[in-house]
Amino acid sequence: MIKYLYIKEIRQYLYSGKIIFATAVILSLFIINALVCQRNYAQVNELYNQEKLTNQENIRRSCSSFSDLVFIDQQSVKPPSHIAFICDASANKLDDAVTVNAFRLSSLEKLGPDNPYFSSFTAIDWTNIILIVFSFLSISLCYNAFCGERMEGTLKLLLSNFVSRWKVFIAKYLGILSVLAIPLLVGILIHLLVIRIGGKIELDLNDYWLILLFLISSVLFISVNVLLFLFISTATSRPVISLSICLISWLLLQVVIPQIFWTSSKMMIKIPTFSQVSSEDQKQSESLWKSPDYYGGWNGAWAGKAPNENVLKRAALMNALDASNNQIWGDYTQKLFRQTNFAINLCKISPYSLYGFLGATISDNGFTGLKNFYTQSENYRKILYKFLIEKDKADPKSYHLVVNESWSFKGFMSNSSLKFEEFPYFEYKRLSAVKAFTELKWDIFIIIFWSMVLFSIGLIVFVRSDVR
Amino acid sequence: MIWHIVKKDFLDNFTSARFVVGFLLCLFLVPYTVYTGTKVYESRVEKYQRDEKNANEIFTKAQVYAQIQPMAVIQPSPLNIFCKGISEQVGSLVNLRNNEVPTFATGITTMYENQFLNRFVSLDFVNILAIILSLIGVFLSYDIFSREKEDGTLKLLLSNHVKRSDFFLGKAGGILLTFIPLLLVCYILVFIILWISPFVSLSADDYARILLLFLFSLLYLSFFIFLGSYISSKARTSSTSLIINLFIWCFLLFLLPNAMSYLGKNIVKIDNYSIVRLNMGDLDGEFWEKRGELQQQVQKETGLENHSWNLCAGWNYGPVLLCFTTLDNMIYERKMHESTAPMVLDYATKKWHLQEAYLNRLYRQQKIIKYLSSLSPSEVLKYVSASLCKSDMESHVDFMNQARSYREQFFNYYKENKIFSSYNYFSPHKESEIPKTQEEAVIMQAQWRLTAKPESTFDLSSLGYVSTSALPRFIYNERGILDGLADQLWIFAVLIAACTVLIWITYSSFIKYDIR
Repeated sequence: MIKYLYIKEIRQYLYSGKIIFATAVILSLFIINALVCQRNYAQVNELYNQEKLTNQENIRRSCSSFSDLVFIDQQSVKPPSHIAFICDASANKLDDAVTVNAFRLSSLEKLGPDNPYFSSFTAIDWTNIILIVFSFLSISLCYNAFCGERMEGTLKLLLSNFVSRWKVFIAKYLGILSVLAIPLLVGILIHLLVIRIGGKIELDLNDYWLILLFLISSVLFISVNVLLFLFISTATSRPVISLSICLISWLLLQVVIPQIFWTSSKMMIKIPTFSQVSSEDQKQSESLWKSPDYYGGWNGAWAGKAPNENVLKRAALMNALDASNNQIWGDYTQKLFRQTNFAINLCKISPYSLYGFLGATISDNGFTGLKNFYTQSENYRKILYKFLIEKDKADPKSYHLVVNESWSFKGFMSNSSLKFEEFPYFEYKRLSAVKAFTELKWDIFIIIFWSMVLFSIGLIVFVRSDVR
Repeated sequence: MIWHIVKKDFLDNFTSARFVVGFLLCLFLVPYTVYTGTKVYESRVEKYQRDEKNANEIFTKAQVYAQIQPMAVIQPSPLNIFCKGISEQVGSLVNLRNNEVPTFATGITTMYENQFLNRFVSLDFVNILAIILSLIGVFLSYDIFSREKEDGTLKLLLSNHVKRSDFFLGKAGGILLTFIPLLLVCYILVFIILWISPFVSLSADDYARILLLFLFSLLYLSFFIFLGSYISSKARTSSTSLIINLFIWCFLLFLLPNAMSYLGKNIVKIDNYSIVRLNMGDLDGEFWEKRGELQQQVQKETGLENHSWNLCAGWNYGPVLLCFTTLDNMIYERKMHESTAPMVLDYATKKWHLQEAYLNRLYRQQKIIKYLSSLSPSEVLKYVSASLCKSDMESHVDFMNQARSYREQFFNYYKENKIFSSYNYFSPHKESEIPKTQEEAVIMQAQWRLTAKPESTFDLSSLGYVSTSALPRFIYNERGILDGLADQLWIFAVLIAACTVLIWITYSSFIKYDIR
């Protein structure tokens, strides 16, 4: 019986004007997104390659002298995500680069094109298409699924036959979910086809796994939508009331709750301001300069001679300054991350926010992508420093003072040449599908949990409802 | 008769569940949004005060004229709480250097300074109006005619001596009247929060702007009310009307502006600013080459082959300071500054041509996006509100232009008063105090160290400060309401035209409406 009911539901919706109209809108949006994201990708990728080449050229030029290589500033740029079309997550507004050398890592900076003269618009990416268009479509299909039939009397007629209520509920749920899955699948396929024909973005196997993960999550999210609106439809007596409640729920979950939690989290977790951290850094630096353990002076006649006590004390001062700077700014960045993580986790109370952040994580964009990039840049700095120290130790002519003061310490470190191929490069490691799944397993679990809860409540309310 | 219908509809709507829910939502969201906006504003005021203090200290603590590289600071407007526009993403401080005309403002700081959090969209009062109130407008108007038809009351009413035009006007008036107390309550809530905050003080000009904002928000809501009414007069059932209304609402608020921003970005493409910086770097290279030639020329003229100094702070042609240096070196330095300073300013102008071309592309892109996205009434509301609340691009560009003009005025003053050619441009010593020989210079410096006891090598506070009372200062002249509105007048006119057309077609449609 479920099969017949299911086929009836699908037929009923598939031939309706709203589905045809919505499918046309959805497909157009997918095509627009496919065209735009290729252009954006090409633009940012060009910048990324340009910076990469400049870095390599600088390193190649300095390889003849170790002491030159030590002080090279590299501009590390986050490569554009291959699958940014899944979720843009304000990527064009967020920082995308850091300046890194062996001793210090700058704070995140913006390198890619950006026009500050207009407020950011919501990108028409897969996540937003599903969050906005599919949610509205779910509302329009579900709001009168039960209360409409109840009003028209068809529900009474149906249940007067030997049909269990749970079968009706499941058939309706599966029918609507299948109808919604069609434009989603067709849209995604057309999008991928346009990308393949365009040839600007080359997707690899990992990308396809990530797309699959997103697709599964999307179906689960649409299922939450359908179950929520079906539940409202079972609990209300008139389609208009049901529609109004559906809309208010959408507004609360999509706009109001995330907004409130987002701004509240700023007040719940206090972090020092940029200027406070700057002044702390300055104070710390001043106290180190004045400390009797170190020597801040310079007599200008050190180069070429073995380091005396003053030189060693100055080297210790420079190292202490670097350590203090890295500590203070590293801590500050971690505090920023903690505050943002807290805000994101708080917002995940709403399945809509949860799904939005899930899309950003899968596409390696937004805060998650930026955090990955920053963490990898930090690790790279440590690797680079270790590499340089080891190379310097291997040189018997060096006084082994690899210190962050180019004008005074070049003479106290190795001056031999290095092989260009030996030098460690910064290569951003994109998110693997396995890691993405590990990071998102709880989010997916929460979506499944929402589905189960809404399914149970919807079914219970429908089973107990008065169909007269 | 019209008044009776207006009154009946007003009471019906006012006591309806959808109005109450919408009202409660506003009652919660408006204070919340305004409170968080006020907190951000307070932190911006604190930052402004710090910046203003620093900008003043540049003048009061300058020991030589070269050290004065002024700053232009703009005070945040409390109206940004209503509509933040682009105010939080463009900065409020401009460093005015002799070697470069500023492209962008710096000092983009909001309350918590967490860039990861601040870059995401957060709602302000105008956003609440744009999203929530428009939705309430749709909710109240989607069944304005269709429900009466479904209930049979329309048939009943029109079978009496009630003209269709009276009925139409009564219905429309009833909904509009329902919105006025709702909007008023929202604005009163905003005022209460603003009055409580010790940082916020509104001027008469601000109140006039808020009044205009109120009238404009009413016009914006009228658009959705008449749109809903028109669809209601065309739809067979209330549910169909609501579905169509919602799709249009969603399209106008979310899809259209975003699609238009995509289109705009493709019509006018912008490069990275790093490309402009690279080209500016080429000009800097050219400058250094010329400066090298000039240096040789001055060396020949002064006969000074090796120049040296005993205490120097700052950099070559920027905020440099020389002291305890011999007269021959000082003559050389004076001549160098005399010839280099105009060249620095000339190269800054050359670089400005590149910056200006880049900025013009940014402005053009913004304008194209603005024109295209103005097809959406919510964007029209945001643009007009940003203009009224001084947080639009035009207000910021006006500030930047004033800062650039001030820079020109400031360095022209230096030129006209021959400050670049004076010793005081780079040294705190008067001409008579300058030591003749290196021995004299060393003794002078040693004596100074002994008497003044500086805290560090560069603690030169004991050498005194230059007089800056005659130097021009930056004063920002705010644009008047009319200047701001003149830019937005056409989009304002478009919205009025759209409302008029909607009223007309709704009326025509209702006249032909089949009430059976």
